[in-house]
Amino acid sequence: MKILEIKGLNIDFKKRKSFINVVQGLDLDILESEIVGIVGESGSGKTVSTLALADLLPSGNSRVSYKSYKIKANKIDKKQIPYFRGRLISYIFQDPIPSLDPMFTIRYQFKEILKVGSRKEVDDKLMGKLLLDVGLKDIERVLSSYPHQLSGGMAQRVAIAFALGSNSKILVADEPTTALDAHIKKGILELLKKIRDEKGLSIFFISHDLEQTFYVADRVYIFYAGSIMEYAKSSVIKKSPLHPYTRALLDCVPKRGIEELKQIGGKSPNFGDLPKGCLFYPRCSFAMDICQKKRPPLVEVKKGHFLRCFKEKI
Amino acid sequence: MKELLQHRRGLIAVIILFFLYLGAIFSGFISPYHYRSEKRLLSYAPPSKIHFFDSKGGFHLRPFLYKYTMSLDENRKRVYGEDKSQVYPVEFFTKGDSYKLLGLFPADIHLFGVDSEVKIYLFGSDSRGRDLFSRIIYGGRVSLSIGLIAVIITFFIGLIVGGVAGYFGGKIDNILMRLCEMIMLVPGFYLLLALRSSFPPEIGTVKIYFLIIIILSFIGWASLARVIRGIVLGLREKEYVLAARSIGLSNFKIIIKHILPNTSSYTIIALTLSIPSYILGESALSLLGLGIQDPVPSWGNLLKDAMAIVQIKLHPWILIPGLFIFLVVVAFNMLGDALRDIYDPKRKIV
Amino acid sequence: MNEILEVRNLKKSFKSGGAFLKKRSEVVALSDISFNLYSKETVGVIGESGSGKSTLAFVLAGLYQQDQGKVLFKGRDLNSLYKKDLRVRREIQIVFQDPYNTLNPRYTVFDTLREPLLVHNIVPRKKIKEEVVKTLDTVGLRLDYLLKYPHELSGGERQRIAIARAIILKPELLICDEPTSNLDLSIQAQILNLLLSIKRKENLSIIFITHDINIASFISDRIIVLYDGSIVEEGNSGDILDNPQKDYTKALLKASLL
Repeated sequence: MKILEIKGLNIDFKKRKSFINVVQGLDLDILESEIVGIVGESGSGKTVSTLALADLLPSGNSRVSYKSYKIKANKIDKKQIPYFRGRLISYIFQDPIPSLDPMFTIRYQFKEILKVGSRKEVDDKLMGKLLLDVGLKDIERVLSSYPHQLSGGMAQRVAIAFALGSNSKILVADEPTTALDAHIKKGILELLKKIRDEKGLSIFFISHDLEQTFYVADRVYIFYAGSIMEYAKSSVIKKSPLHPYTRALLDCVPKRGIEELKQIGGKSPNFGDLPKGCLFYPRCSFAMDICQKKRPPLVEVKKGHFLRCFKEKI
Repeated sequence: MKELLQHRRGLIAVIILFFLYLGAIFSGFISPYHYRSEKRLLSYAPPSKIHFFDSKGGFHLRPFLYKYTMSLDENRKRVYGEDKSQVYPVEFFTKGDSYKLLGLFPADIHLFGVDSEVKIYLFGSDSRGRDLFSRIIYGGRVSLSIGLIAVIITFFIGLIVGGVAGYFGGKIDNILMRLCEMIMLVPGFYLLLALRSSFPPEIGTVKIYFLIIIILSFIGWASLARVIRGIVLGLREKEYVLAARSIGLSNFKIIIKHILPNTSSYTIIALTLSIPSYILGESALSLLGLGIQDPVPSWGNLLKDAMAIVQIKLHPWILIPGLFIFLVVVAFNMLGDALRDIYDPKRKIV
Repeated sequence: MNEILEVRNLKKSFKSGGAFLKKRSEVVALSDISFNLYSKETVGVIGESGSGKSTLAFVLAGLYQQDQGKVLFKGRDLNSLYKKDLRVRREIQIVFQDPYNTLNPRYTVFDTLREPLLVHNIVPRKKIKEEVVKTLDTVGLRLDYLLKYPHELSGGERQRIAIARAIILKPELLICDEPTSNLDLSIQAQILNLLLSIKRKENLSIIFITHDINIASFISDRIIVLYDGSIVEEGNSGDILDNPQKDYTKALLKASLL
């Protein structure tokens, strides 16, 4: 069942004296024991939307509103959302080492986090078990270390262990493998799949890397300029992407043997200066007249496959 | 600049400083009297009362004054009153003491003044009957300029020393930084006094003026240089500096064109915030009689009269120069704050 | 085919640590690197963090000096060239990874691009603007970019300027230190295509450093695999991908191609 479902997410950011709309009317949901991939480039709104979910946006500079925010089908008032941060929803960041406090040992920080999840017995045994769960071996050494003494991969596993320890049901992983070396990345992706299966966790996997996302996610959302362009099961998007942006993105991945990459000309639009019609219109090679005038709605074109595009067949 | 005017504190600071410096530049014109002009009879006269209604209740469009009357009471203390028999209107753009406009052009028109029979003492008078308002305006010339000029010298020395030390590192860095530390070890004010005392007490106003500037900038450059050096250490590894090296740009040009300009966001703020301490340094020296000497006014030496509590009680207006020092110090601090806010990179959203 | 670059037994270490009671430890960045680069060839250097790839780039670009070993550029010793002959700075150029620090924030695009020309004096003053505009066009940017400041440009645009700055002197060897790692996928594609078109047009030799096997295989003729300061394997792109010999190379391939 859906553990989290939001409808009509609106995010505005303050620029100088006025607010600019960055995300409008976004719907997002995730099932228990599911990995949802969110793919987009910088400025797509992928990070901002998930930060809003966990109420992590700075309140002075941003305005967030929902049409509805449901946890396990129960409607939640916006004021209650901060309560869930750290309890229901955990966040892990791109660069794991700076996301840990450099002044304290892992043991100290772990204890602090476990206390939030209101566990009574916080001891090395409990922490050790969680660290084993995320695939770490040298438990004593890890617990006694300071963040800068760990490798990137180890630190990311520690961050995941923290999330598990706080008993969260939802993990938001914002580009968790981007800062890691190539052969470490795969290990983290496997770990995420493992905790989905063994602990029933729901994971938002945010990335700009299509291949990794297809590998780890069950469903994939494609973000562009603050809007969802397409979403469907991971295998479906991989095999038959429908949106011109998705297809163009797949063509951008460098491979051996091709003479030239099919690039997407231009750059993503500035918020505050968005095109009237389809957001991708200026860069779309399949653009039609109607695309310039009207913004296409998100429509279920096949079962479980949603598309925001006027072009039926490409 | 535009952003500065939009910033609330910045705008206030700019307005205050604009008027203060305007007063200093056009001091001859704005003050009704020359700073030397005295009238012993009216020693410690209270500030003149500006009237619009006369004793018979008649309204005058033009503000006017009465003549001072002075008498001695039983304790031989002066008591001042007003001789209401005659009305003396305040004149604008009137002839008065001659002065040199901008130091070059002889002139004798003043912004405002009164018939020579009467004195207009907006802020009262001092022990020799000299108009305090005029002396404060003239005093601004010294107090406001010394800080600025000294800061500019500090700027150049600090940048060069910090830039060279940070960029080259190694022995040069070591030597220069130890030198800075030696200077910084001595508490600023004592260093100021010590340096001043190593010169004869009376050497003429112009020489003292430049001596103070040199001493102030000598004390100030060390801490600036240290911080610049720290910033340069970081900038040295930036890719655009590496790119400049890979193009073959000479070290000297790299420091001047790529590194030092990028310290400006720190430098401008640091300098703006140090101007107040330079102004206070000069004021303190002048107050102690080691700086600018009477009869040339500076806000510091104008406060000399106020050193005795008894004088303040009897003639509270002699503290007004202190108010001006306060005002300029606050203004520069607000300016520094405003500049810091504007240069803060985190101010940009999304 | 002639060698444009001969690298022999290059070694470079850094001293680090050294607090009050701690001894200064030595980190070996490059230990015994040897390889050749042939004229008009693109060599991809694949390495992860700590492999020494950036150190190699900096040594070849004359930003670091090696501790031991020799580099011959067109038959002449690179070190002495960097010390004595300014011209070598024209012939070897480098593009850096981070687009956000690669341009002086106080320089306009025009300032950045004309500086190399001013240093080397190869173009008469009157023709400088013309040359800058030509190079701007080569990297696909319009005239009105000349007066822009870096903060007005996106990451991809800044990287184009960095490339323009590198090629305006018409170098023979271009060193690219992960130039697309900090860029979005679609922008990366633009930059890679740009580099390829420049390579063809200007007949450049390129050393392309990356951690991404896909990029390396797309852009390079030969691949060198770097691990922990040493060359593990080298060969034609196709051979490395189809027939990796060493274990590390195999592991890298397995991890990257999901």
